[in-house]
Order: sequence, then structure tokens, then C-alpha cells
Amino acid sequence: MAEKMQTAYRFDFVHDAQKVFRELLSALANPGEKKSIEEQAGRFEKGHPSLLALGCTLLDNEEGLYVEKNPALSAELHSLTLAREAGLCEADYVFLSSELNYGSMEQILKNVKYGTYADPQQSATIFLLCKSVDGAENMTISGPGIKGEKVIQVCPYIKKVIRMREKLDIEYPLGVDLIFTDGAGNLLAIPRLVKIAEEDETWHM
Amino acid sequence: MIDARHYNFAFLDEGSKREIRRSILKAVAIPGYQVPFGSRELPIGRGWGTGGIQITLSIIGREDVLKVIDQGSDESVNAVNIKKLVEECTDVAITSDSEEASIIQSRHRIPEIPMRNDQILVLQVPTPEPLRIVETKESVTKQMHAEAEYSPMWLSLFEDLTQYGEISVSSEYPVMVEGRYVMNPSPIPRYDNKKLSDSETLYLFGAGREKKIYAIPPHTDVVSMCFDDIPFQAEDFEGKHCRLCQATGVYLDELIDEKTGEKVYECSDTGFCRGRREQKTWKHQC
Repeated sequence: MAEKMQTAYRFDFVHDAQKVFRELLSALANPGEKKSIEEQAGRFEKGHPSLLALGCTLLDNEEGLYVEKNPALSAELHSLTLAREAGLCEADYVFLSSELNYGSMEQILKNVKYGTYADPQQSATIFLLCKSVDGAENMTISGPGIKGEKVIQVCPYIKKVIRMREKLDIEYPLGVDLIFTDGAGNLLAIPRLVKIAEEDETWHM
Repeated sequence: MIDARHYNFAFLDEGSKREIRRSILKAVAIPGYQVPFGSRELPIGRGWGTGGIQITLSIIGREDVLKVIDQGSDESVNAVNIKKLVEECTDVAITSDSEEASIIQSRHRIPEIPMRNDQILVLQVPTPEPLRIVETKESVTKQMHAEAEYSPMWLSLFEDLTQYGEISVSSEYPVMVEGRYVMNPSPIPRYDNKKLSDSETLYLFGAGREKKIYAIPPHTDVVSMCFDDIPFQAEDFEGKHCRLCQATGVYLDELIDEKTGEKVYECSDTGFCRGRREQKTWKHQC
């Protein structure tokens, strides 16, 4: 008896990837604005749909991929995109499939590529999967893409990670771009120039 | 024939689109910095807007509405051919109304009607390197950007000032982005420079021949380079108006009336002018 064929994914690498890219572009151009890739992420049946949709939009065999402590996701992304696995220090794209503790997150932010002054684009982009992008934590941010200052509500993890990046005091144009996502397909981008405004300086480690 | 049956959606293969998309995202994260990319062959010669076309083809989707303008005109050869190419390989809707468009590709102008946050302006760039007038070697200009060493550029503007009594750069007037990168805003007139700063819209710049992509996100600080005592001056159209729609306070093309031999003026942005004449944009009083 023939086995029933199981569809691993229904993600369209032409049109779904284009939509995910446009949401990602809009998220990066308008930091702090929540965007959604829920429909496109929903084309993946299992695993981490949001991260898979983002990976399938940007990755191919030209890019180095690092996935923290999730060999299944790493194998899946490699299988779908042919992106080569790379060490943390060489990876172009870093995927974090769970919220990490302070020490682990700090190690990642310290060791990823920041680019060089001549080639700042050779820096890492980190995709971080949160339980939920939304949260009760108020955060005032400023930078390109934001008119003056903007107050957004995020989960504490997001604020913590941005604070950690700021604490590293990476001199622009070097830097790391952060893209937060969650199981509901929400996207929130915090590129390297976006900072938490002074009023929120009460944060403590 | 180029159509959806013979070519991939939006002409470029997905690998090419991915590389261009990755470059665009880096460009947005580092405003004003020229991100190198592998410029692809297109059925149009380099120097004819291939950078802008590659960006447009990489970002466009089935729901987009595209407008293409060349020096403000919807009907010039370059604009018409680019529209044909994109339309035939994507089937997206084409418009000449800048308010209807979700993506506007332009050569040398920014539309008169302020663009919204849900729109993207793609600019074609012939010479992306603003430092080329002071340094011919790419390796040196790259290092100058790395070190933010822009004194030769300031000196060039100062020499211009001493020679002509004013800064004589008419288009491609250099700007400083976020206080870090000197950037060539493409050959837009100085009149359009002010639209780059603190804008609602995302600007993407593509140089196909020079293989560079750069960007200005919305609400980014863009300052036209000038001296404290010599402020930046845009073109002045005081006392002049469009002979077709009577608009004032817009960028005007100077023409010679063939019958009278007198100087006359028309809106450079033909879509804006047509809209006014059709009573569509009288609400926009400049």
C-alpha cells in the first residue's frame, strides 16, 4: 500500500519570500513597528515557522549560518536553503530559537561579526525567537526610521538584549542588526543605529 | 519576448534577488553607506537604470503598483521601456499617479507630492561615489569612507566657492547622512535634496554599472554639505509658474517658446502637472 505523501512545507520561494522580504524591509526601515509574516510562516507545518520563513527568504549557499543549540533547525535551514553552517564568529546570519540567559546572550553578542570600517555590511544579523514580541515593558527608542522618539511595548527579553548590545558600545558603522520574531509571525527590527532613549536608563542588570 | 511564461517572476532568478535583498537590508541598516553587490545582466545596457531596475525587480510583488519616471516624465523612452520590462515579467499594475503607486522608480527627480510611509522610491544612480570628483581610485575612496575622511570633499566645495562665488554643483549635490557618511543623492536637482531628510518614505538607490546599493530610511538626518556662513541654496523659481497648470513653488523646466522666443516654464513632474490639470491635486497648493 502506498504511503500517504506528507507535505513538509507549502512556502512559495518566489512570492512568499517576496512578501516576507517586504515585511522585513519595512520593519528595518521603521524600527519599533511590528510587522507580520504570519501567513507566510504558516506555510511551514512544524519546527519554527517564523525562523524558517525568514531563513528561506534570505539564505542560500553564499551565506554562513549559525543556529544556537538547535541542530534540528540548523539541519532544516541547511536542507531548505543550502546555507553552509558556520561558526558564531564567521556567521552572516545567526538564528536563536529560544530566549537565552544573560551569559549566553552576552557571549553571542560579543562574538558575532561586527563588520569592518571599510566593509560594515560584513556584519551579522541575528534573528531572535521570543515567546511573544508584545509585552508590558515600555521602551523609548530613537534613531533612523523613527520620528523623534517612539515608545513601544515589548517583552522584557527584547529590552534586555538591546541593552546588552548597547553596553558593548560598538562603534558605528560597525554593529549587529537584531530581528525579533515570535510564534505568531510578528517581526520587530532594531538595526544597529537604534538606541534606547535616556529616560529608560533605569534598567539594571 | 519577455513574459511570465519564459522568465521567472520579475525576470531575475531567485538567487540574484536574494543577494540584492540582503544588500538592501544592510543598506537600510547603515544609511548612506554604499553596499557592494553583484550587479546582474539585464536586457538593457548598464548606465540606463539597471541599478534601479534590479532593486525594483527584487522588491516588487504581485500586489504592487509601479510608477516609473525619468527626469520627472512618465513618458520618456527610459521610463516607458522600464515599465514595459517590469510589466511584462510581473503583470503588476502600472500608474502615472504618484499617490496610487506603491513603488516609484525614478531617474533624477523626487515626485512633487510628498511620498507616504507605505511607498518606496527607487532612484537610478549613474555615479554613486560622491568622492570620485576628488579621488579616482575606488580603494582609496572606500578607505576615506571607512575613516570618515572627508576633508578633500570640503576643500572641493570651498574651491568651488572661491572660484565662482557660490557652490556651483547643480545636481548630485553631496549630503551628509546621519552625520557619518557623505552620500551622492543621485543626479536630483538641489531642489529635491530637502525631501531626503526626515522623510516619511524609504529611499533606495541602485547603481548597476558601479555595483552599489545604498539607502535612506524614513526620518533620517540628511544634510546638504555647506559652510556655516554660506548656507545651502536650492534652485529659486520665485515669480515663475508652470504655463500648463499655473503651479508655483515646484521644480520647473525652462523651455523656449518656439513662436515668441520667450522663456517659459513647465512642471518637471509631468504626473503632478497632469493631475492638477485634471483637478485631481488642486488640494496640493505649494
